[in-house]
Amino acid sequence: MELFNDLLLGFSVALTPANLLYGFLGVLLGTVIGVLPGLGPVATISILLPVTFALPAPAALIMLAGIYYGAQYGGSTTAILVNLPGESSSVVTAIDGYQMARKGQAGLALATAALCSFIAGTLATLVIAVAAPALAEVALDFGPADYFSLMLFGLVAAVILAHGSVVKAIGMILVGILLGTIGIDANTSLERYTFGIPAFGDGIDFAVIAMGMFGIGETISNLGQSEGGRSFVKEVHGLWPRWADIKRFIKPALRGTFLGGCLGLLPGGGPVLASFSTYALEKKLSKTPGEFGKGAIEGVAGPEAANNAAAQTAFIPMLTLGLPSSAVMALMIGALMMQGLSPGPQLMNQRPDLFWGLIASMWLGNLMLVVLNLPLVGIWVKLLSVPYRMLYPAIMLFCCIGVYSINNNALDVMLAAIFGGFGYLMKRLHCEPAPLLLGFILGPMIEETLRRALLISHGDPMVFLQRPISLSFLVLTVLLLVVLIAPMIRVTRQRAFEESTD
Amino acid sequence: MDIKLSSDFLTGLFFCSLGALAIIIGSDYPIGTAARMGAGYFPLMVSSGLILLGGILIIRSFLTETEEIGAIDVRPLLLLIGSILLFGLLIEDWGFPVAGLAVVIGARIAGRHYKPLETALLAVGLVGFCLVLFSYGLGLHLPATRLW
Repeated sequence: MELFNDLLLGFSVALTPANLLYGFLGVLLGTVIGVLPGLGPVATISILLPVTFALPAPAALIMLAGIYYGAQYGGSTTAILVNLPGESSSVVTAIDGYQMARKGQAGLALATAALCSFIAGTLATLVIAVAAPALAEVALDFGPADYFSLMLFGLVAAVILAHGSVVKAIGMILVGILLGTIGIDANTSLERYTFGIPAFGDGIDFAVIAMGMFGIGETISNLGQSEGGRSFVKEVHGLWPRWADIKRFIKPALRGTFLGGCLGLLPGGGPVLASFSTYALEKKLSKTPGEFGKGAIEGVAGPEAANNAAAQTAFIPMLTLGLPSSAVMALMIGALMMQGLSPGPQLMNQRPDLFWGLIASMWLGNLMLVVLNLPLVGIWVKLLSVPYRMLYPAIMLFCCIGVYSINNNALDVMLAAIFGGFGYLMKRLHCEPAPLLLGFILGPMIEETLRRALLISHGDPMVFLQRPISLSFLVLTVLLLVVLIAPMIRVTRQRAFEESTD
Repeated sequence: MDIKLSSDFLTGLFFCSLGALAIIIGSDYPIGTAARMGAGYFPLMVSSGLILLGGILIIRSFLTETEEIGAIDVRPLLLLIGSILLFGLLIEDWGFPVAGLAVVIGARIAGRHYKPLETALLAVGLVGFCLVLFSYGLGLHLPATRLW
């Protein structure tokens, strides 16, 4: 009954006309930018982030969640119509989705993706509503030492996110942590690495780094590649699936939801792992595995449901523990902090309106996606036919306006430009920007919990091993490190990602 | 001496120099003790870790063949970064319209197949659109360009 009341509170927040409008705007803007090839959810959220800073906290989070779902769905649309996945979690969708589109089933593929995402989204939202309060209850007992070990675990798990070298990914995390120390030290009020620039006193805005490394850096990479003759499917018809189609995709969608929902909970697991493993599972279960890769509807349904379910359940560790399991969640935490809120177990008690409002709007966001995207599919197709050379200057202009409007500070724009160049060069060195962002967000929290834990224990580092919660996270971290470094697994991991980086 | 310009080697060099730089700049920050950490304790830990990882990468680059760095596209890199820097330099004194035109035109030149007329139209259209949307629509404060 309590759950019912909580959800009612959530819907009363999410259903106010203003919040409904912001959610709708978020889904719309997210889809518009997410549809553009080469811009995944992280870049989309980074670019649109400053738009939300002026809003009250619930509206801002609702809009961001809308942007996230929109961007993710926009990525699937591009994957199906252009065979150009905007992000690694829709790589799998492109395999069979594009083949379906080439066979004249573009409409069916898009509708399947939307409906399966909706089914997964609905179920995963329920899971969050049930599981998050319980987990938050447990997390209230966490001391500083436990948090420190948890975040260490989160960071190491995030290394799985990075393609390629583990050493480089950990290095990028450390660079991020180091960047996070810029500013006035909260404990001793001493300036660190500010170079005497007053604007650095509060540290670098994470939106500046995110927009620079993802928005600007990605654009430089895209410009380097030849635009070439992209062949995309312009004809979209037969949008509504027949009963026979529904019967074919409902089971893969449910299996994908389950698998994706579980994997999304793991830090570093996330949508990519979910969609890859669901695709493999469906192929194994199928009576006609030969159809996979040639336009099997199950190959679209399963992974789409899985990546959406994982995208949803990833909110659970973020909302209850303050632990971002992906770059997107790191951005969400950053947005919360911009609003003066600290994500963690207290959030649910301090701001129940925000917590439950967000959960309710997740479901509404999914509903809007179906209502919005299927009828508007013609517009997305048109948007795809706008040449990239017209689009990217617009994106750059939006980035500039966005960064400038955070603090009305021109220095931020110049910093973003520098981070853009830095992000591009690091990418050429095969270092991913996502771990850096995670390190930057978690760095200050790690330092704070480390200091507090050691202050309480009078400098005795054994405190991390004596507390059972802390110890279990440390053991998990060590296990993960062993698994990551074990050569056999490294080879398979590389193989899985090679497909996604093409 | 034969130094392979592998991505591992360069990344290692970068990690080491960044770590060293952070330690040198941070050498004035009080370290304190583990129980009462000074401002310098944590950065020192992180920087040392960075140098260690950089060292591993450098050693690894001599032991095994690693990926080479791909070609760096200097033109988009410099021009795009340059045009955004220009936006930052222009926005406060010259106002948004001038800075906006600069960034769109600069970004367009950074790409391929630059056409002057198309670029001019695109720039004017985009800046006008943003002015209406952000300044009037969303009430964002963007410095105006004064023509006198």
